[in-house]
Amino acid sequence: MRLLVLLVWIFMAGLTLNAQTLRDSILVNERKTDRPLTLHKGQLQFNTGYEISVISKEYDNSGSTVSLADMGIASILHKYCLELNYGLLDFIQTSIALNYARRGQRHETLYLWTTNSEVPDYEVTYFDEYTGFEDIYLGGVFKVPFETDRIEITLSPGISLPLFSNKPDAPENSIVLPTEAQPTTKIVYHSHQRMGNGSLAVKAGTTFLLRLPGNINVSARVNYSGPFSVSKSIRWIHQLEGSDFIYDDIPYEYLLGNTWDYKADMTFPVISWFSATLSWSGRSTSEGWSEKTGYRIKNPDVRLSVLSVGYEIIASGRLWISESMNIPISGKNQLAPFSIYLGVCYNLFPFEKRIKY
Amino acid sequence: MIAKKINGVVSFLFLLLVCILLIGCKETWDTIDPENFKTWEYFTTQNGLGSDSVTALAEDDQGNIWVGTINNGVSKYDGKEWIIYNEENGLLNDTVWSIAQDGNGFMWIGTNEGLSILVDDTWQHFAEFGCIYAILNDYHDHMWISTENYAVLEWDFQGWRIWYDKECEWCNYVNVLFEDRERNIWFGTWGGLKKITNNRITYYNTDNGFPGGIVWSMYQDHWGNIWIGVSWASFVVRYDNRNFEAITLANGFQLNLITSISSDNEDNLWFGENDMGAIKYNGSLMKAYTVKNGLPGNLITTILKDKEGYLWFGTMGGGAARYMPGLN
Repeated sequence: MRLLVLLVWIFMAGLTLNAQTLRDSILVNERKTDRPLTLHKGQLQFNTGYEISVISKEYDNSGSTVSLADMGIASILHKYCLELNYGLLDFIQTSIALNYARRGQRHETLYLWTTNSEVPDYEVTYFDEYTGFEDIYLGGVFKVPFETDRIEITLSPGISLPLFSNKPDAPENSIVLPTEAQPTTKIVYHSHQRMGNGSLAVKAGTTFLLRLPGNINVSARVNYSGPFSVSKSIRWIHQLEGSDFIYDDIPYEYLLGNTWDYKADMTFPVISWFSATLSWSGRSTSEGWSEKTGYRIKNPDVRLSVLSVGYEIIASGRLWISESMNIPISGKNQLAPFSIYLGVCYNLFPFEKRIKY
Repeated sequence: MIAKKINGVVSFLFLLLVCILLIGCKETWDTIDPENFKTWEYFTTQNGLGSDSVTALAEDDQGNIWVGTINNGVSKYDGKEWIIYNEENGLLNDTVWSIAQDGNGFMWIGTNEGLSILVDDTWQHFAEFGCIYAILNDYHDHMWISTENYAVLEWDFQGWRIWYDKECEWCNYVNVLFEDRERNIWFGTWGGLKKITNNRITYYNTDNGFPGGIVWSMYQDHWGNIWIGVSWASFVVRYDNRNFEAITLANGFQLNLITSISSDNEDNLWFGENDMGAIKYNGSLMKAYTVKNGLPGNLITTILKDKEGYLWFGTMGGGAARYMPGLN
């Protein structure tokens, strides 16, 4: 995926050298706050990005902050994002998006004594590795026709397709059996999880944009995502035979929860090519269940609020660069990642006539 | 005109979205909410169980849990209330060692003084068998009972067949009757193990790899291994159809008596111990459970996994408890 993002970047850099079209002038004269909520007709937009998240705390069931760093189990998430948008008409846009992410989480090492020895009899480490593509998103954005100079409203239906397997690969547990010199049995439980939800999900949202005097934009967005059906995955069990682990997979069913995403942001152009954005976003997931443990257990309700500050630089009429910093401020039953996102957006009108110099 | 058409398209899309959202809302009311769920539920004489000294557990085809006790017969739990069957209402004896249901749905209760069968609401008694240690209903609905006076008896609808062992006197003391997935019948005895395959008997003792000890419990795990709990050893025995392997118990005690073995929905094995609680084994690591972890007592006499996946622990003195593993 990193290679893919790099190739797209190179491709876009190559395109910047390409000939301009007559409609490029539309983009050249648009600040971020001037842009409509949907792309212009014929406009193709590539978005690539990289996000690094430091997961050093989480919110527990009561909403209290738990420091993972203090327990020595902080982790880093790397996410590579790719999104393609195309303006079918001035008020209809289609989108496709795909992310790849990876994260490794080493949990606190457990030392177990079963005898009265000075050294522990067991040293147990859990290491969970999450890698892979998230589900692919296909959707559209439709502008509601009662547009005014100050207000725009869009509806955005979509679906999330589980094109990539979400079933975890077999674990790679290992054991070091005790010897006279090293009397501790050391076990590492190493799981391989996937990033995808593995479930067809419907998505729907609406965005409300208000243009205030002074070129300040305020927007509010609500998105819903819910599962279309019950999904299947597998869990792994193991057995130790001598010093070798053997594995077997057990199928189970689950139902994703219903997720509501909220976002409110304010954007203002500091100068013509530099805009700053301040935003608050919230996520709430409820319902859903899993039979992973053999019982149909309701998923815990999840909440997360994040405050973001960011900027966008219009490097050229076609190329925009953005960066944002996302700070978790509250939540429940959720990891609290602090993240930085770097995005590059390239725009063109591929089916317009080129200007010949 | 165009605006009207677009408005129509948007309205249609909005309705479509609503429909999709409604389809997306799946029923979730039959789920267990871990935030409002008791991981452990305890049953004692305080809430209707016949006695706090439990000796046997069984589940019938209606999902009722039958609890045998040492001094007050057997108690049936239908999920709401307990019904006690004891000498006062027809049971042969108040000390119950074993319970099983036959193919007709009748409950077989093995007591200190013989066998009582609950046929509808009346009892049939077989006092001549003496104490009944174990009962098994096999794949063919034959009933096997381990008795004080006749070694093992098999009811095959025609009559009783006596499985008395002239070769091995200690093998007539059978604590465990067990059927594996290949339909072999196993006797766990004071003299080792016996396997019956199509009327052919195979002995397993210290001569052919079985580590020895009196057999108290047997269970077959997900992998097909047969686990054997023996008395006063520091290990539990795993038989993989070829070899016996002694797996050291990880609670540090040198002598254990594995009274019972079962597994939970996550395929962890649970070993019930005499006076030392229970041990959960995930395939490579053991974790000890005692009253500190929620068990009603440390003398575990029996463990049962019911159809819903709950683990029931029977204890001597602490009553019974229903536990849902995996929630926490």
